[in-house]
Amino acid sequence: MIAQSPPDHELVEEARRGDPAAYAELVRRYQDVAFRVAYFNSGSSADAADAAQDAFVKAYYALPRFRAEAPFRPWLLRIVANEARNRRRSAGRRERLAERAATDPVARDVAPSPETGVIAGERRAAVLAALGELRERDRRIIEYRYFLGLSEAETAEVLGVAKGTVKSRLSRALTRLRPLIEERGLALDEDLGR
Amino acid sequence: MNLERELLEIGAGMEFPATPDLAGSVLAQIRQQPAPRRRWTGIAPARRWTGIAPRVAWVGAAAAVLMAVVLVVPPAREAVADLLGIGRVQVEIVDELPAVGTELALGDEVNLAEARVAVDFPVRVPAALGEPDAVYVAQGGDLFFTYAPRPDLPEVAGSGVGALFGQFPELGSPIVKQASVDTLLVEVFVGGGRGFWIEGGPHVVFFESPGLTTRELAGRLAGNTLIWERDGVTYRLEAALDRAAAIAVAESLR
Repeated sequence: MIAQSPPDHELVEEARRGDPAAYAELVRRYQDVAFRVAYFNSGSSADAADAAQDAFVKAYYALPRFRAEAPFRPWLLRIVANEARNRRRSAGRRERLAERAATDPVARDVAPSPETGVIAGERRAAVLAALGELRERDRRIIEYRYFLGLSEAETAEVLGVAKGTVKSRLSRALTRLRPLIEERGLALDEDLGR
Repeated sequence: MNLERELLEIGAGMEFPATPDLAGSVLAQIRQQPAPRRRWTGIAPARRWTGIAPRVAWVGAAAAVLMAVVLVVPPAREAVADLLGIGRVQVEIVDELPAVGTELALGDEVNLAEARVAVDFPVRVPAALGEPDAVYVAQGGDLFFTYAPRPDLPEVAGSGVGALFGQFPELGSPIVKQASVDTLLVEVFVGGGRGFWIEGGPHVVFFESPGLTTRELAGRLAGNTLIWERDGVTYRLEAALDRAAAIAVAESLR
């Protein structure tokens, strides 16, 4: 039996009318991506969990000002990103992504053979490490677009910029990333014989 | 394999830390606290508004008479939109102000020196106000100064600040949508360029450029707002100042 899946705007309207169960459903629907946005912005799971939780609460109180037919996800994620960043700022902690990339999250190795597995794993580690050397703004836009699968329009809304800006920033971020990967001695297209 | 594909694959294979179950704790917090706390980074909101039916806007002296007529005639309530063009700028009068994304925080608090490095455009300070009491950089690259209330800068009712000064790069032509029967909207000249003076009510300004999605800036305070552009940067000053004083501040930008 297929469970009932009301569209976001219905849940938003019900939550606004004072049905917290409807909001709980929205939380469940978006908590993964919200937690991950918080994780990228705060650098630790504990902080990310707190930030995501607080952001969901803030979003609830802000619902009266949200137009229900507007896309909920990017509106929510913008609140999450701001919450995570503000939290990090007041904790005075500097992000150490390169170190984080080496430990968690782990890029799962799904290569078919041991040799390509080793190379693929090294390569992923190199890409993640190179990513850690980018300035935060470049890294964030890559994370949103490629690791979290946010659309260009969603990324624009979460960052609070125009869509064209997302396009150009992403392109610049990739341009800056390539040489950092190459510096690690792994050429882009040759290792795996492709 | 190109880099984009590679990044997508890495993303697909990425094992994030497990998402905690947030629904329960979020609900518990909401139930504990039915009314929202007013806690806003940097400033407290003067008031919050929901869609209000707009019934007035007049733009430019020439349009005043026309708008007065529109005001008096009741069909304004049913009108969905009425367009007035003023050069590049369009003003739309709408029945309901669109509820825009909430900006619950101004951004990361920095000092002025850090702000100059963090943003893509030259940061200017209005000499008439002096250096700000707090500076915030938003994730999108916008910059905000806040000024505490003082004798020449009275507090904007209920907000705890004397002025909120925003600097926004990369915006296109402004379209001002505004609501509330008491809002006054006037086109003005600031430093030889065009701007908008918005008085007495909540408002939202949309910026559009061809090929880009619309960007919105909602008025945050209950004071008056002056919006102007200079050298590709759009400025917005919200304060409890009259038009002449606000323009003087704008023209003191260094």
